[in-house]
Amino acid sequence: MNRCMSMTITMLLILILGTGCWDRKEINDIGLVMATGLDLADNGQIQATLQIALPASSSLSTGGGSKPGKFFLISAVGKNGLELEQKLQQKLSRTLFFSHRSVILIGEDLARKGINDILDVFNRNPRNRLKTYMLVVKGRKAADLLQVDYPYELAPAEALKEMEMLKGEGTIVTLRDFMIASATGGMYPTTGVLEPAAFHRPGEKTADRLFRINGTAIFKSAKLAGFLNNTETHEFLWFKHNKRTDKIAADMPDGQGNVGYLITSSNYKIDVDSRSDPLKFHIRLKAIGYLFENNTPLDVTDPKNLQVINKALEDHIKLDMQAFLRKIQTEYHTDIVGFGQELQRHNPKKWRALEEEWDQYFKAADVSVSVAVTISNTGAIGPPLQLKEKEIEK
Amino acid sequence: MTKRLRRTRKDVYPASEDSASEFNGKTFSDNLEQNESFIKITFRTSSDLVCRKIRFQDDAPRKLIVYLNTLVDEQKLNEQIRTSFAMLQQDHYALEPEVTEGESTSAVNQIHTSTWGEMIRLLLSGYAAVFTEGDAQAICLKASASLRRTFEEPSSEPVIRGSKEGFVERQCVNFGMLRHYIRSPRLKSEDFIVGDLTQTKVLVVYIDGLADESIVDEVRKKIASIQIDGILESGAIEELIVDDRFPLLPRVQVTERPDVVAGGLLEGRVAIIIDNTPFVLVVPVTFWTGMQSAEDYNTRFPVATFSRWIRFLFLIVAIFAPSFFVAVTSFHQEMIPTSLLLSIASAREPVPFPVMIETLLMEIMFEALREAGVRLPKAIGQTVSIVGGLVIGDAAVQAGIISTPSVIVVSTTGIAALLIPRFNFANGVRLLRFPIILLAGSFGLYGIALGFLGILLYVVHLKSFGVPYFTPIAPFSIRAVKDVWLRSPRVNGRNFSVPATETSVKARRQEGGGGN
Repeated sequence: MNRCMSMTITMLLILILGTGCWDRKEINDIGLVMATGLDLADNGQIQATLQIALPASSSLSTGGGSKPGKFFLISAVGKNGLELEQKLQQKLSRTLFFSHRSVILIGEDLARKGINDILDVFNRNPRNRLKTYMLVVKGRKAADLLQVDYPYELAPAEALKEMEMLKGEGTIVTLRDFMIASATGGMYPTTGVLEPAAFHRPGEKTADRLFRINGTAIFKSAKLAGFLNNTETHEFLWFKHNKRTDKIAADMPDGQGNVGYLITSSNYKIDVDSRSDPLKFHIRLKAIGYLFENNTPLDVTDPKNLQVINKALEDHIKLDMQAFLRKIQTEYHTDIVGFGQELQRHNPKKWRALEEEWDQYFKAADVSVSVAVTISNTGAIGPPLQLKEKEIEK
Repeated sequence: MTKRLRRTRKDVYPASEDSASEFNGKTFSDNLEQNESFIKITFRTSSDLVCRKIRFQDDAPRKLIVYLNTLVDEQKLNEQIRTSFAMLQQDHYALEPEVTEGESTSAVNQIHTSTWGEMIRLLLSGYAAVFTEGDAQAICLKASASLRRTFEEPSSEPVIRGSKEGFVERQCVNFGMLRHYIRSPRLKSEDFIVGDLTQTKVLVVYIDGLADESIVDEVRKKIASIQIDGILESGAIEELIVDDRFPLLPRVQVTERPDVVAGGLLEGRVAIIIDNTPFVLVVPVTFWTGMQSAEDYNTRFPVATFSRWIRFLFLIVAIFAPSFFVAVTSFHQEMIPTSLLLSIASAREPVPFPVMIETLLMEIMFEALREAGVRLPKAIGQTVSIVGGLVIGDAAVQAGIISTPSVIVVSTTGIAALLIPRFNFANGVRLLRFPIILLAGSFGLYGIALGFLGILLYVVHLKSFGVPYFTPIAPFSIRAVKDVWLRSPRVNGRNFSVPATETSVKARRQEGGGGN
């Protein structure tokens, strides 16, 4: 009995002491990294800037009084991720804690030079999240935008994260998405783009700095190839299954005013004709949504009028889509949509033959578009209420 | 207390002996004076002994009435003596041949005896003994005063809907209340006397045919084998009939409510009623009965099911919430949503202690407040809650010794433990969380997993009178499990009492015991 007991206890102790996680770290002992900004340093190395949350002690926050900073920045220059981490840690009394980092900003200069040297460290350490959002800062250093004192959130990084999560407003790319797109053949990775903006605090004349999400950055072998503007980005969203709540403002023909359309669900299909030369692709876009705004004299309760509006919306989408396709085909030669992938699925043999020279074939490919828009709801009224009876077109 | 008693009095009386057994063989003398002096010597320095000699008529033989005036209602005694002796007077001789020892002449409780042992025992249970000059027999008349309080609502188990009657301290009254609930000759009760000095009456009650015979047998055997000088409360019986040297979780149900006992009896369980306490024991119990309230069966079943689920949820909270908090904040910060982590971090900024120490401090403080609240007179209770809740809680946060999140966690845990309906079960569960906090503070979530496994193993290995503690989950019974996760609705025509017995019998069969 006694032997049995002591054996059991010994085995339990081995089990407990051999497996346990002995890395207890109090919350007061960790420095919460909220965002990382990566820039090109003057000597060609990488400059990393960390935005570290500064938890205000509760007595201060209840007392009001002087406003304590919500975060602070530290930065260091180094060759690769580990070296940077070591140098940054030397500046901080608390252990750097990366699990809560929500945003990685990349300066345009560094993005143009290429980010292959730094990406691996974000994936290898399990304490990093693959759900971290990636954004390229257009025309500025990433560190500049990290300094913005955002009025809402505790840290600007939180604001960025929440802006990114608003669907249908821009390209949303996480580390994971970037890696997948980068590793997939017949596709190029993209990221969202951050731009400086301004806002006014009440009673102050000078504008405070702010940022906005605007456009898309296109990467080609981990180097920034170029940007898409806002309109093109919104066309790109069709292929990212991120068109929900996107808004479309379309002009009516003959200067009859315009309509606003809110997409509630969207779908796309790419048909491939792999035998033709040049390759032929046909994009079929489908959208269901609400008519949200009607600045025309049309009575939308009439199906005939609705058809006119439908047609205008479809033409508008088609035109924008063609402009987008032109840009990626002729200007950047980068297949960010994944036509190559479609071809690979459709005709793997052909794809293997074209794979090496895909950029050239993509550039030459003939892409056509057709759009089908459904208006499922026009709101409670037919024509705009302010119109007189005779101004309304039935 | 009984232990001390035994030690100090050992030199005078052998404690193992029945209080009146030394007189067992001795018979009365026919001399009234001799009897009187014998009694007075036996009950020396007992101020409540009354010996009174009376004579009904001038030529009638003298009689000696002996009783303890603390136990006897004197008015009742007067009536008894008047009626029964007037009758005896008339045809004393005609009756005599028929009246033998142990029999009585009238409906009221009247016992003829001729040994001192029996007479003393009766005297101590509220009888008055009447000796007659020249007769070596005594007539004992029952005239016990009813030392009984009024029925009150049981304060330990209040309900909104349900009987407001609670048990009282008299065993016979308590059994009578059960008889009111179950008017059937199948309701059986077996008498036991436990305690050499206290001679406490213990009643084992069950429904014949419903209760598992092997469980009844085990209860009988265990009660009969108790060797102790005194039983003051059901707690002593509980401790002596449960074979567990470290009974963390209760193996018997303790209740003040007759409807709960009646419900238990209908489920084929066995009740043990002990004199001098309103707390009745019901055996066997399972883990799940600890989570059921008397009121569950009085409310509509969806409502009762919901409150049962709330209780299960808060059982887990009561055991694991503080340890989960400790583990997550000191090991797994990546699990906390960022904005929550930021607010916890800012609350913890001025706190000098590790989370584990902080939580343990608060938990112990909370237990201290609770303990103080239970024992305090009502008038001071208010002060304790103000000092405890406001001064200690608020000031500690203000002073930066304790952080607000841990105050929230600890108070949630405190509330959660109060949700467990059976107080003796809740007491055990409350203790479980301390080792788990330590485990969580040293090993994180891994420690909690270990602790959970440990608790599960412990609970599963327990047995209450042969029935596994986790019945009907393990061993599993699909019919009975319905009453664990749900409060299963009553269906007209189906017996309310069947499932519990079935499972207990089944459980015994599975372990190879029992024979039914």
